Amino acid sequence: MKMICAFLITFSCVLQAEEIVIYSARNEQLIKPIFDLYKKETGVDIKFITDKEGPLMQKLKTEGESSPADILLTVDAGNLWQAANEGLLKSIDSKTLKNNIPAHLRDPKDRWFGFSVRARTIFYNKEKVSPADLTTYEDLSSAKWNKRLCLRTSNKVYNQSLVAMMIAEHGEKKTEEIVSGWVKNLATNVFPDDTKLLEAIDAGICDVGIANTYYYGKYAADKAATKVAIFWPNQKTKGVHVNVSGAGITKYAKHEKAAVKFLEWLSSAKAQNLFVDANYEFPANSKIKPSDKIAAWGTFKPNVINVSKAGELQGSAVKLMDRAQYK
Amino acid sequence: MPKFSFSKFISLFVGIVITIPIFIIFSSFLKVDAGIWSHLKIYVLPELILNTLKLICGVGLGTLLLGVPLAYINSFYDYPGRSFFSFLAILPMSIPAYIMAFVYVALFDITGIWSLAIKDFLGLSFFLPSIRNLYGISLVLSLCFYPYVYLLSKNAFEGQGARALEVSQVMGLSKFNTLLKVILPLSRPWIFSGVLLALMETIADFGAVSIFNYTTFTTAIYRSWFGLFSLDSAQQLAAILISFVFLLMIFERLQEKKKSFATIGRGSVRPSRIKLGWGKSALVILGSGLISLMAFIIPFIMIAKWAFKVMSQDLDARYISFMWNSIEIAFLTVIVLLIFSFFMAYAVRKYPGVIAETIKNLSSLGYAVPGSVLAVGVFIFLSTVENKLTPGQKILTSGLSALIIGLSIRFYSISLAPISNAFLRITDSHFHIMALSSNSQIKNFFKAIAPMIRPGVFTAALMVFVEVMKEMPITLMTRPFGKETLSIRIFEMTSEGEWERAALPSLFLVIISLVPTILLFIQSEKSHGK
Repeated sequence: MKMICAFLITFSCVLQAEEIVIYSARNEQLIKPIFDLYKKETGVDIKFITDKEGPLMQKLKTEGESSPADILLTVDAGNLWQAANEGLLKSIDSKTLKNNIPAHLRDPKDRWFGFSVRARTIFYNKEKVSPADLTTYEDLSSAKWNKRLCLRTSNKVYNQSLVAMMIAEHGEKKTEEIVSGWVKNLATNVFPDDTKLLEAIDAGICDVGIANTYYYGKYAADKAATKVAIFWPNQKTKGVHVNVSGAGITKYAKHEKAAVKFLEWLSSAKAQNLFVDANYEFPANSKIKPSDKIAAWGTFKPNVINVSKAGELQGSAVKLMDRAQYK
Repeated sequence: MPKFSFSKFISLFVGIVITIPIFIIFSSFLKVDAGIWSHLKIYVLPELILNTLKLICGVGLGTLLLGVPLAYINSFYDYPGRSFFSFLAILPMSIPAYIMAFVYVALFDITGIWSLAIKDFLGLSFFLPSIRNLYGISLVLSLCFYPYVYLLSKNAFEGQGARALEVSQVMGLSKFNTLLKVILPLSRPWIFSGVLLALMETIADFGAVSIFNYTTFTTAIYRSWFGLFSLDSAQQLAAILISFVFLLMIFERLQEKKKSFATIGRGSVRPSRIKLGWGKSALVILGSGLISLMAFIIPFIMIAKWAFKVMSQDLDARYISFMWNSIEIAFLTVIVLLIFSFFMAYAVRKYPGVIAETIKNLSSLGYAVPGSVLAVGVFIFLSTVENKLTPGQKILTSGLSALIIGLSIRFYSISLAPISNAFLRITDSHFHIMALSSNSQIKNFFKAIAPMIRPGVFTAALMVFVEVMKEMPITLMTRPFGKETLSIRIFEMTSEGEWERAALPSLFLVIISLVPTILLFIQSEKSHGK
């Protein structure tokens, strides 16, 4: 009996001695626990390397056919769009993925899928602003917010995507007016990251600002007595700007089947919570509830325009922000 | 000396290999996107060029004013605690610039810990001004990079020999005039190359300037690449940036031309240090104490404080391998670079001329290229070689070779500067004596030349070791699977702004860097005693 067991175990190991190779722009500490769990459940080994998305894409491009990578995992739809646009990804034919991931959070040609969702929304100082005064991103350019607004640098792709989505909705001319209005309303220099921006709202240097939800999650976890509160804008118009961190199969993937299986698993209930909770994100799979902490922020209407627009219009957004002197 | 002329061949080979990624960057001009360029020209570049020039002036001045006086005092004078302070002066090098920048922003920005504390203490109704401006970033980068100027100036001052000073004293020059008319002019190549290293690092920097939100030419480079998705435009901008540095090198070379920097008299005889009185000692201690407080002690305490906060959550057994990998990679790069730079410096000294100078300067440019842009150039170069040599097999990129070659390309100038400066001490007569001597060349070399270039070699080794430990873009791009280092840990934490968690790997990085720093220090003190 023992022999048979040993044989079966060895045999199943041989069968499953598969591996997947992932290039990831999502941090190690956010992906490693997922990979470990997957290995535990399936025996499939995941080799990965992290880097910034720009260099990772360039690496894939340079390696071409000889690339060991099966999956490109990255943050922001702008980057995913760019990877697909450069021909680095191939279409995935998976019913499971299409069922689990809503259409606006994946590539129209199925070359990548979003697996976690973050909202880029408005934050305000509870002692200085009544939520009744807040309405939309666009309204932050009006004179009533003069010297009261904080923004993060326009170098960050999150702001580039936000502005790109506004271009998709309003066109360049109107968007430029809005962005110029924001710049006029700035209370201080733009910030290098969202956390610093939240700190500034907390300290009362500015009253409102725009940041990603997960930064607030981390910030509020550290500071229980924070004066910063969350607001969901554009509820009467298109909805809150959301973005994804997502993945696609590389054009020259050596373990394509195994890689698709992994992505399907990543969209499943079990993996989704582990994948998003550690980073205070929303599950991309709409059938799955976010964690209690995130649910406490309240429900909101997301903007369901396809996130790939962010990539398509990112170049225009960057140029527009240059023209509007948004640093 | 026919036996040794293979150094010409090796240096030519090394020079070309190291310069190829630079040529790859220049080859981007084959594809010019006129639309992006006209946009950059109107909306982006005018301001950024001005910003960059201002920052260069700020950091140039800052590193000079911190590095040269500290080196001068510690080379020529003695005061209580001199060993301690001259050791402390090197340490800021071990703190990555972006970490130093984060510490300063965390303390002194409008919402900074100290800024808010001072505001509360004084009961102010307004916020203290932000340090996120030209002056703030110039200060922080000067604090980070002055050790280059300090170390190289110290090599210059201590290698001049006592004779030059004696001559100037016999001629009746005052101490101040001796400094101005003898010591500084004789040290010019060292001081210049120290400042140049600081400036190259400044223009290539993206991390620290981003934290200060100070936009430079490099900001435009990354914005074109990541924002406008045009790596070509980014490379073109980088090419312009390094052309500027190249012109600077040529300009300085023309200025120095035909001057001799050989040691007068016996180089190993160093002037004995003059004892300072109590008043002056107190001033010196106060001054260097203040610099070290700002450049090392305060940042170190903050890093340690944050590191302890996250230790229970983040510290695990893997840190042993992070440290080991960092040390291994740094050590291997040091060995490779010392060999490369030795041959180059030797060849340039032995066969001076336009070709040697050009190759030397071209191959030094890697340090001025923004890290990720160079990383791509290096990766394209190495993968192409790999595909041509052994199609289908990854002989370079699967092991450490690609990483070590990449890092060598990046930090070549850091090891070449002190070593080729050391060769300036050697006169033609040294070579003549070597040629006439009946001993073997190698024996001759160790007897006549090695002692004179030793301080330069040690300085190069230390600077390369510490720089490699801190390096991110090339390590990220060319490391084999699973080869995680301390700087990679820092990257993982900082990429989504978790700066305080990055303090833990930073702390280890600083502590490991202490070891070579202590070794350099002991070596330099010992040779002074001789």
